[in-house]
Amino acid sequence: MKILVADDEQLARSRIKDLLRELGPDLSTHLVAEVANGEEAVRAAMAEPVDLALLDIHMPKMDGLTAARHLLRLPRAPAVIFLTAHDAHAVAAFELGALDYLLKPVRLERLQVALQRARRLLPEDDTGLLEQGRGAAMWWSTTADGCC
Amino acid sequence: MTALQARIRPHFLFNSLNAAVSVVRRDPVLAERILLDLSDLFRAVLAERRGMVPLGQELELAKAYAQIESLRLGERLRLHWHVDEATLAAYVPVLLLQPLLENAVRYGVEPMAEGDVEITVARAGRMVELAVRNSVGPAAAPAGNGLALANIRERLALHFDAEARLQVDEGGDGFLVRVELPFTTVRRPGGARATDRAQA
Repeated sequence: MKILVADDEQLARSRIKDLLRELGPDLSTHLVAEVANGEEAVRAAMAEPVDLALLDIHMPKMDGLTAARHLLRLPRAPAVIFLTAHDAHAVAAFELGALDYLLKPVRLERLQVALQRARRLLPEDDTGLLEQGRGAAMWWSTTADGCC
Repeated sequence: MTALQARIRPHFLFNSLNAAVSVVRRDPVLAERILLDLSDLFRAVLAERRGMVPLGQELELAKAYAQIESLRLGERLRLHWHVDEATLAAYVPVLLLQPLLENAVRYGVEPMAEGDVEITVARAGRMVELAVRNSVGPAAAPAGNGLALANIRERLALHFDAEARLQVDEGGDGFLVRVELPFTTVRRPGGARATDRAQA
């Protein structure tokens, strides 16, 4: 499952990466793009389609809700999950078609549930394709043999 | 809790906790610092009805807040402090400076790729002047900005009547909030009682 992470805070991105790394072996998650605002998220997803976008909401240039609107209109639209410190935008997020809405600081178990939900949306073929391409897509450091 | 929310945004609290959680495994000392700074900040917020503190103490609090924001925002936030040591003993209402700094970061830096915030504290005769300027005018600032300023204005009036004032200058190259108040090194009992009434 190819994942894009958009958050304007570097520490927040580190946190998500740490959690994805922990969940990677079970869920075959692969972080393929890490960006700092909504505009870069849309550009990255257009350049290389992803299966899931994990979006912060308050970001410079383009906020997460606007980015989601663009992402969900792409020919190969990713599932969108919001990861935010604000609880005020949940209704707007689900109205847009978000798959889930997680509050920071997020627990590993809660992110796992959200990722499992996203994974179930993937067609079997797609998952298989991603499984094969996994080695190339995986750029974060895992165990030497690729771990998963 | 309402008083707490009026002073510190829940958004700031949860983002700061998230920053601490983010570094706790690889840099426990940094996580400890974030949590201790947060602790200082919230203790001050909860103790606000005490009224007046020396400016030096208020500056420490503003710096604790600034440290957390610097960790969160990294190089995006450029802080410039100009503090006249001769002002540190002056008594000011607690949480006078920190909300101004928080507004500057919230409206002048967070929505942008990067930004400058300049804090100036100086003595001018029998007055103390505090100024917080952020590099980008908060043209799209939600009402929260005005509420924070109104709250500070109200507390200045309670402690100093017409002797203190808060001015906003939105023109030119940024958004500037300037506070002028009398230099006094004694806690004003009348002011403290007035603050208690305001909290009731």
